[in-house]
Amino acid sequence: MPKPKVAFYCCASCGGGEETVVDLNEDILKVVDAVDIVLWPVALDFKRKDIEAMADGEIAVSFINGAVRLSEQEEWVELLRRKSGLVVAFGSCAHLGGIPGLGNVANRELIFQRKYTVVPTVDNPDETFPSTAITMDGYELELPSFYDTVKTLDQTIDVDYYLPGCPPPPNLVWDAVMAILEGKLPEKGAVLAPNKALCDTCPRNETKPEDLAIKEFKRVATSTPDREECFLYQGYICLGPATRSGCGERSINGNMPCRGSFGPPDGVVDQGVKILSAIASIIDSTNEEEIERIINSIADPLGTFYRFTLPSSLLRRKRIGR
Amino acid sequence: MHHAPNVDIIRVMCSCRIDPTFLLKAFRDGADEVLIAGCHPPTDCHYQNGNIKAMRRYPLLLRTLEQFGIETEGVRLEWISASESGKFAQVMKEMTETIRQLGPLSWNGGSEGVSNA
Repeated sequence: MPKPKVAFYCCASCGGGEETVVDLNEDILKVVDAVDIVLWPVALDFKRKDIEAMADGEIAVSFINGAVRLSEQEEWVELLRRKSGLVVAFGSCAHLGGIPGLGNVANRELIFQRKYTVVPTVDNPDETFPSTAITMDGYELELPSFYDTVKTLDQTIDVDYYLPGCPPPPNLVWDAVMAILEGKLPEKGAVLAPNKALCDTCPRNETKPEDLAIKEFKRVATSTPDREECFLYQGYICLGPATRSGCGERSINGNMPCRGSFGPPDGVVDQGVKILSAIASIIDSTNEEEIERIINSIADPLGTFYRFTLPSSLLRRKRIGR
Repeated sequence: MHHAPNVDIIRVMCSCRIDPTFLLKAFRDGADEVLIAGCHPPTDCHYQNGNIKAMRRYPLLLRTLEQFGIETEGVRLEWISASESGKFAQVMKEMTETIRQLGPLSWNGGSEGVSNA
């Protein structure tokens, strides 16, 4: 029997998700034994024409990481969707928009201005900006177009399953690969991770008092958290209460509060506003002025609460101009 | 009680029942402004401290919405008890004036909305 074909592709992401596949270590040999990898741009040399030559649905599963920011990425994922039986959004960027999704506080014009003129290390006196077509020495060259808005994978194509995380931990990747090979998959649309809040599995949960109360917000940039106590109890913003468990508490064990890369558990539409609500409610004051003062100690609420989820949030992006 | 007709009223048991998610949904679905109205703190809450929770959420929500590009003039928290119909009508009048000056938010129709244009 021929081995099932598997593709990996990455769009707007840092490549950390691809790294996770390598982090399977020797287990990757078992995966390679069981499947045929037909596309993996970071590791193997296959081209778009190789995929275009395949029959529709010929690839058993495509693991796609990264958000969709360029026209080229949109073309690639549409192609992979056609050629694949299953599409798995792999990692925070494909799942929720991820860090590249924070670009949705700006648009193409603002990003290009900053990147190609404002940044002090850039010398661009002619104000040359990337364009989609240019003719040089008689050759017509093309670049993909850069969208104003970063999209998640499922805002671009139909997605069957989600592997959350920045990056997804190897054990969840392994479980997903095994579930696919053995045909033991849950209902379409499922996030292949536990459905509990991170606090539920947090090793510091026992130090959380019945009633949390915050008098002052602290930042890990300017003070060092205690290594045992609940981060929220100490006044550090931790997205644990509104974040799906399953990451292996990697941040917590590294003495960093949760930043929310797994996204919300099932049933929560907008992780950012949920944690906003939870955190504001435990401010230890009944005085409007004092509450405002405490809240003003949060440097960047949107960037903190929507660090990984801006494109998948209810509002999706900042509104620029009325 | 007379007030401007362009308001949709959503009744909830307590101002703390207003999950901030509701406001984002309202804006996404086309509301130009949102008013959160609750009972006067500190003692008017039937549930003891529901209004205090609403009071805590409001300024953080406001700052976040500002980062989303929504003018804060269009997001108000007012303490209006059940017997203060005059105040309710007055706030409605003020908010209608505000939106006349700001113009519609039209979240989905804006040139830099969620489209890829």
